[in-house]
Amino acid sequence: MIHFLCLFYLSLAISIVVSATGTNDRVKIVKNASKYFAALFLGSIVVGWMMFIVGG
Amino acid sequence: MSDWEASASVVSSKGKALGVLIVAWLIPGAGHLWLGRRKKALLLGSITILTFILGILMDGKLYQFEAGQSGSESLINSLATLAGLGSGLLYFISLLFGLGKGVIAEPTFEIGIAFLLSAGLFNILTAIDAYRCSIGYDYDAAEEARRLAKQQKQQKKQKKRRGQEKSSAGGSSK
Repeated sequence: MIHFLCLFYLSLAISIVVSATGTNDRVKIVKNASKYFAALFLGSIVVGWMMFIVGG
Repeated sequence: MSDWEASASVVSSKGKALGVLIVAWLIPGAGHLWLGRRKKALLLGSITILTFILGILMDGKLYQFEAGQSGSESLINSLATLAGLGSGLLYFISLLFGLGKGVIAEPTFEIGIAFLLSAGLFNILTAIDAYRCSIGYDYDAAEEARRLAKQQKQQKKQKKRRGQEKSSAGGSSK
């Protein structure tokens, strides 16, 4: 559970920081952050799940 | 597009811009605060500080330069130390109070390290952004220029391809 929460927080933090440092426009920040967050969070869950399956 | 914060300003000299960079590195969010970007300062500063505190609470380790390590070990250690140093004063204060020693037996030890390193890297990004804002770097103009350059490159490629097709068609008809 803690791993899941950490994954959620880190994905959110990374997406907000990365999108906020690339622009000064609020609309763009929110749009990019949501895009990055979806990609990071879902991507890491899929990769983690695949590693879990491969690792047995 | 319009700027997020109307109160934002730029600094008048390169020296002051360097000052913004250093202050932004030492105190997360302070660089943007100097420039009047209060919302951005609050957003980026709070994320960095919260990530760092969570890393410490999860018994993560703050890396330090160490002598007498093997090649790869020393490389990894140095990179991790540089990332940790990105947190600025938070890093030094934590070391001063004996925090961030790392407890390997704790299940959250590795996640704690990830949080501490992320906090440092976040702060480096934030400091670079503060510096760019301080010299009046225009993100929208830069993006527009990139888009135009890409368009021109594509047009050049298409022209070249058309030229090649023409020459090959001319050669075959002869």
